[in-house]
Amino acid sequence: MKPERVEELLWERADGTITPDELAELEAFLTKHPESKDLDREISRLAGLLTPRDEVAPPAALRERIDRALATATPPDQEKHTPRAARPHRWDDRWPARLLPVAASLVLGVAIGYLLHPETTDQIDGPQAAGAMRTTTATAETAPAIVDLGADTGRVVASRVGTDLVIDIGLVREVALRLELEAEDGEIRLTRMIHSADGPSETNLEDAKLTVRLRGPGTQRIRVALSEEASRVLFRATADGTMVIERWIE
Amino acid sequence: MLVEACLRGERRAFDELVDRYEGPLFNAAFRITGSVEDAMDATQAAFVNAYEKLHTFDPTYRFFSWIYRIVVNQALNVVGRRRTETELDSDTPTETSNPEVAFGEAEVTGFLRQALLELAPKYRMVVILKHLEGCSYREIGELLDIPEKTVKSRLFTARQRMRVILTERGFAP
Repeated sequence: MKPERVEELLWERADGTITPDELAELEAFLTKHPESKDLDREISRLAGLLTPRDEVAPPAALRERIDRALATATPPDQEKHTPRAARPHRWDDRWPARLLPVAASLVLGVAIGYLLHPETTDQIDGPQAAGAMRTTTATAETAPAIVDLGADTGRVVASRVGTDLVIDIGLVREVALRLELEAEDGEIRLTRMIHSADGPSETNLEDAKLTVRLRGPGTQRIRVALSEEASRVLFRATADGTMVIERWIE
Repeated sequence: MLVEACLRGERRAFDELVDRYEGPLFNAAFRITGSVEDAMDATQAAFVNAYEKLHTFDPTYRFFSWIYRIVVNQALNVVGRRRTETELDSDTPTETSNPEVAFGEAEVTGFLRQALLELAPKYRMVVILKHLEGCSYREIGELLDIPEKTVKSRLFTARQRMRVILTERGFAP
């Protein structure tokens, strides 16, 4: 039995979800391999520590505190809110098998188009709308996530290109931008960074999460490769400490 | 929908959300912080944060899932700040040959929280939901909007890492 399987069965036993057959399999293994007793004890001990606790009634003072804090809080910005019509389905649910070749052709078309137009930093469009920061989100899985920071600030566009994710950033003034990409599963690998940003840039890749901090003005293109399991990525952007977008890119 | 009403400027709609989720969120915070005062701070901060950022909420997801993640992060921030303050004040034991003797209940809870803090958020969340909240795989999947299979694989990785972290800290059988 593989070590992962032993550990899985030990946890299932601790959770009380192990089947009689699995239990027999596990006990036979433990008898045969006494060296696994340490792992058995470790897991039993950790499982014993990680136990749900009883519900606690919140103190009455909590509600008063929340009400007081909300009374002085800044109301949500209605103008920045973009209501969505319907939740996008997962790719598998949405595309019947007969349409998959069509979808594949489209993806191929996009890929060819991309190859015919090699990456240049000037592909980043300029800001399109004046005024306050505006977040545009799309309902289709492959549509880009666009963060329009306003004409005086710039724009961020995150697009899925095959198994890669490309983020174009164009900043026209001094602004501290923090971008986070976190794969739900699988891995993220930073493959390319092209930048003309004047300000400093810092990247940190840890545990399927990429964080990029940069300061405008300037342009930047970041390209990351996603492993097969990374079916979707959480894209989050913060400009000068204010979160401007948080959404899944399928 | 309450969130939509709130975004239209109906402040009382948010009060209804507070009525509905104050208890579960306070409990989640209390399980993480282990302190009523800290849990109150985290719950209050979560509601204020959610209110001020309500326009960033994607209504195609469950509001409770969204605010639940906020409160968990607030609670972990409180714990993180407290841990830093404690470390500045005194030396925390990191190694011992006899953990059974060396660690009392408070320390055990502290070590668990520390191990939780060292997990990436996506792993931390499944451990909290499974073990501290007592949610089933299905409930966790619904709450985090991920398949049950993913819940299981994340939980497996999370527990493995926690075991390693606790062993490295000298907290092992």
